[in-house]
Order: sequence, then structure tokens, then C-alpha cells
Amino acid sequence: MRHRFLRLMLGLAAICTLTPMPSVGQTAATTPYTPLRTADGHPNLQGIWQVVNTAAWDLEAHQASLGVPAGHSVVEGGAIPYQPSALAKKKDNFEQRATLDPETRCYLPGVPRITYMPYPFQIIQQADKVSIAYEYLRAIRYIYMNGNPHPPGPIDWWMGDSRGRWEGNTLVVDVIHFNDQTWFDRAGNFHSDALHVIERYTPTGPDHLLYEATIEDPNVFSRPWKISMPLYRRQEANSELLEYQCPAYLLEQEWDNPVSTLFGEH
Amino acid sequence: MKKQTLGLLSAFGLMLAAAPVAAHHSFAAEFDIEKPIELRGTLTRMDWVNPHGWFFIDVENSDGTVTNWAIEAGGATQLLRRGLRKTDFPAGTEVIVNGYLARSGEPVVNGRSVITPDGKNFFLGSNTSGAAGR
Amino acid sequence: MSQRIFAAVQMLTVGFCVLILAPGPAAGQAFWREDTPKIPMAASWLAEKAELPPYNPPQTADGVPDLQGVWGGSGGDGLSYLEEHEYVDVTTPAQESFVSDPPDGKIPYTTWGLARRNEILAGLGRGWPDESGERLYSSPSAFCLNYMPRFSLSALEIVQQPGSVIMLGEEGYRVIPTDGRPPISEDAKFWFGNSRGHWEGDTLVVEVTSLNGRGWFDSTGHYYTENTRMTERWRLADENTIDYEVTIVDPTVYSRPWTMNFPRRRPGTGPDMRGGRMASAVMVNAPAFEDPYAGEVWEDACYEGNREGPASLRALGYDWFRGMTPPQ
Repeated sequence: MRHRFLRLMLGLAAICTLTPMPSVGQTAATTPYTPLRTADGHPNLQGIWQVVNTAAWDLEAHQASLGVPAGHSVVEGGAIPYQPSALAKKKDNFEQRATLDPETRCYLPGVPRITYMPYPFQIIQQADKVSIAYEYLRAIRYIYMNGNPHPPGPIDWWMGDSRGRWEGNTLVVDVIHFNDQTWFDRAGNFHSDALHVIERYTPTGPDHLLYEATIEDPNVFSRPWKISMPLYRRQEANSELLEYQCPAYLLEQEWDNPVSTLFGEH
Repeated sequence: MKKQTLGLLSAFGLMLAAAPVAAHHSFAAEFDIEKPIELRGTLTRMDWVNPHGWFFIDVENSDGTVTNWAIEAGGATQLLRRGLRKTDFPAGTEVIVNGYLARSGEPVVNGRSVITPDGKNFFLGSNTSGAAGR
Repeated sequence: MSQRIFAAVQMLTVGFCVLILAPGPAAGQAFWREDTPKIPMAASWLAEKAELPPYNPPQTADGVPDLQGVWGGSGGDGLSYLEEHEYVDVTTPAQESFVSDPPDGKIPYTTWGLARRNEILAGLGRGWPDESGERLYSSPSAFCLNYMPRFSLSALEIVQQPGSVIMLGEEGYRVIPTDGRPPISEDAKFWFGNSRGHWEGDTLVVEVTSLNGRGWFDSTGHYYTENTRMTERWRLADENTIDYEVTIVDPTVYSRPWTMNFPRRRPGTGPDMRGGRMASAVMVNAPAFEDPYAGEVWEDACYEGNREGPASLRALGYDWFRGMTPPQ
């Protein structure tokens, strides 16, 4: 009786050790999902997707406040590994976020922030590229898969330069050539123009992708760090990208404001 | 071979660069075509942006003071596609600008041509003459 | 020399010749010469179209015409001046009207509608004909805003999927459902409106509703309203040419529907070898067959880079255009 019980416990312990446990921010994937394929034989990630989390407000764990929902961290390990001087700047950014956040000026949010803005986006696949059309700002990203390397720098783009490849069922996107003007969220998390992002889009079910992004910036962080979150396929039959032409709304609001700060810089 | 095919059959980027229907139509409102101006100065800064890039040049006035002028130039994408980079235009480069004065009275010019005293055209880079030789 | 390289050199040579007619080096702006021959638009296209033999387009796997590929825009003066005009200034050379119907090439406004347009025209403050010198509004395009039909007049890439036609551009995109779903309620208004497509024989017909009436057709104040509907027709006229038409309907400002019409060419095809009717130094100096990035669209970020534009227009005293409300 005791031996049988011990064997059972050992067996259970073995099962528990071998079964993958979900880590921070990831969906639990027990067996890999085999997605449908496009006509040219690649995994089909097409459709309208959206995140459902609070990363747009703050990538790290945060409490609620007026207009801000509480949320767990989407950062693996919990905290973003800032260098000490950069952490001080992040805190300043947070204090002044109402004026400093580039989102308040309707600027392009950069990568990966555009992925987790609370708006849908659509993935479109062709032989030479994957296009991601975002409702937010009607932004369009072209992820080239035509054999071209990144063009030589220095180049300062809001959305960087994206080059993609397939690794099994995962679309891997390498992004460089960023400017230093975007933030990662509304909490003041920032980067320099040395930012390098590697995105991974992996189907985990017919209506889910796993989105992961590795962030590297030797000017700001002490090591690379990673975020991950599910992408959910929009289910409504009438699902479509509408529009959010933010600059039009902002300009109209500020045009007649005699103390507007929008028009000061030249 | 494959890259050539792509280049010929899908010159999307070039078509956009060459035929900007996204012309932004504020030129004549902001700048006065009746007020052509020539300036000679040294480059202090460049803003590599679209739809128009900006050069900033220090120009010495007749009384010895210096005014920093803003020159509206071609968009960044056009320069990048020609292989130019911001590092090709170091501060201190001497330039001759021909353009049109802003209506506002500010030291702002819409640059029609920007060349160096030895005749290099800023917009075509150092050695490129191309078929047009402009 | 391989045939492909020879073709490219031939294209470059013609491109160089076209350059003589073209605007000058793009410093801040394309600068057109006063002796530029009148740029063809609707009238020339109608004549060219009439001579074309009937064309049977290839089909996609879903059994609809295959319009896919990269297509040039309208070319010309960049939608500076829609109706027929002579040379205005360095930004705006002589050009035929975009309007194919009515045949006189003029937008058929009602009396009220035309009076409003002329008020806008008078207040553009550019030193152009018919202006008063006052400053009223600036073109919405000056703020890097995009809208219909402006988006459709630029170069774009058409991608077709079952139930949808996608148009990829430099400054945005459109996804046009062709699966028969109804449009969104007309109470919801958008800069790009809401598009629904269907096939009529060889033609993709796109109905655009829910327009917010804030965009202009050109820079001279040809506006439209929240009541406006646009119907586009996209049809292959031959293997390298799309016949693009858009019909504008708005009984609150026009006395009848009117139509714009021009051809869109595949790159490197068409009478001017440019896929659009405006050559520039860029095309000649960055030969397509040498540039592996020629097929790529690079970041525009117009609004982000245009901070000076709105600031200076506002400082000059322009008002923000909020649309035109016709009488009930």
C-alpha cells in the first residue's frame, strides 16, 4: 500500500514537472497548433486581431486610477531592466506623462506599442511581404520578406524598418532604424534610437496568436527584455477596421485654443 | 534576376517618390513666389522628416550678427532612397540656397536649390550625375 | 546586353526625355516650368479609351477580374487644381480637367454650392486668380490629413482576397469588403467614409458612404458634404491600365452627378513610361533595375514631420475647415 502510494506520488510529480506551466503573460500551449496555410505554403495569420489587456497604459504591474485599469505586468520577469540613470528619466516621464507622452500628440506609437493600442489591426500576407494595417491612425506597416536586408543607416523612423522571416509556424520580424521619440506605453517607458525589437507572431489556436517582442537598447536597458501577450481574433461577422484619424481631432480641438502648446515648436 | 524583376515590375516606392499626389498645397499660402531670395551660410542642423525636410543655416548679416534661417527642403524619403544619410551633411558645411521667402516675415525659406560653393547639389549627393546630370 | 537590361535602359532614356518636360529638382516642392505642355487628364483618356479594343481580364482563383498589382496614381499637379486650367505658378502647371462628365469638365454645382466654393477660393491667400487676399481656409491636405477620394488618386497596390479587395498605399490603406455585407450606419461619419464593393462584369464597383464632408477634391476649395456619396469603378482597360472612375452624387450641392476619370498604369508602362504623368529627377537618378529597394514603400510619417505647416498657417490667420452644411 505505501509503495503504491509512493509510486503514485512520484508519477504525479513527474507529470507536473514535465507539463509546461504558463509563465508570465503567456497563454498555456500544451501541443503546438498547426495553422492553416496560405496558397504559397506559409502559416496563415491573416485576419483582424486585437489585444485585450492593459499594456497600453503600463507594461509593468500597476494599480488602477481614474481612467486607468489595473493590470499585471506583460514583461517577462516583471520589471523592465533600466540602467539607473534611465530609470530616473522613466520616473520623470511618468510624472509628466500628460504632456510628454507622444500619444497625446497623435504621433505614430512605434513598435511594439502599436500592437497593443486598444484598436484592431489586420494582417495581410503576400509573397514579398506581410502588411499589418492598423485602425489606429490608419497606420500601415510593411514587413518585407523579399530577400532585402535592412537598408544601411543611420535612419530615424517612427515605426522602424521591418524585415520578416518564418521560423516554423512563427512569423519573426526584426525591427531597427527607430527614432527616439516614441514611448512603450502611457507610463513613460521609453527608448533611444538604438532600439532593436524582435517580434514573434505564433498561432496557438484558430482564433489566437501569441505575440512576443524582445526589446534591446544598450543605451537605456541593462539587458534585453521581453513582453508577451495573446492576440484575439475579432469574432463579429461585421468586423472591419474603421478609422481613428487622431491628428484631425487634435488639430481641430487645438486650432481655436489661444493657449495651445501644440503649435509652439518650429 | 529575381530582384531585377521585382524592381522593374513593382517600382512602387519610386512611383510614390516621383509622383507625390500627396502634395500638401500650402506652399503658395506659406511662401511668396514674388520674393525669391539667395542665402549663403553654414549648416547647423538638418531635420530628416517628411513631407519636407529642413536645413538650418547660420547666415552672417551685413552688421556682423548671425541669423539662423530655416530652409524647407525635399522630404527625407527622397534623400534616403538616393543613398544619402544625415551623416553626409555635417554641421559646418557651407551652402548656397535659392528659394522663396516665407510670407510670415520669419527667417524661413522654401528652398528651390541647395548647393555647395564647389557646385555639389545637395539633393543628388556628391558624385551622382545620373542621366540628367542635374 | 540582356533583353531585360536593354528594356530598362530604353525606359531610362525615355525617362530622361520626359524629364525635360518635368518639374525641376524637388527641393521643397516640385517646381514646374511655365512652358510645360498641358498635362493630359480626363479628355485625353476618354479619347485614348475609345480607341482601345475590348479586353478580357484574367481572373483570380475566385472567378473575379484580377486587378492585383502596383498601380500609378493620376499624376499631374498632385490634385492642386481639379478643373481645366492654364499654368498658375511653379506648383501648378497647365492641365486638363479631371472631370469627364459633364463634358465641359466643370463641377455642376447648384447656385448655393458654387457660391460656397467661390468663398473658399477667394480666401485661400495664395495670390492665385479669384482670390481676395483674405485668409479663410487652407486645404485639409496641408495638414497631412488623408480622405476620399484623395487616397484613390495616389499610387497604390491592389491585393485581392476572397470577399475583400485591399488597397495598400504609402499613407494608409483601404480594405473594401466584397462579401455583400451592408455598410455602417450613415450616422457614423469618417474621413475615408465606409466602402462596400461588388463586381459588375469586369468592373469593381465601390460605393463609399458615411463621408464626413471634411475633405476637398483639390486645393482650390472644391469641397463636398456629409450628404455626398461616391461610386468608384475600377476596370482593366488593357493588361497594364486600369480605367479609374469616381462618380460624385450630392443633390444638396450639385445639380447632377459628376464623374472624374483617368487611367492608372503599371510601373514602367503607358505613353510616358512613368505610370503616372509626372516625371522627376528621382526616377532618372535611381534606376529601378539597380535599386533593390525600388519595390518597397518607406515610412512617410507626414503628420509627425509637418509641425511647421499647421503652425505657420495658423499664425497667418487661417481658420480650420469644419465642413459645409447645405440648407435643408
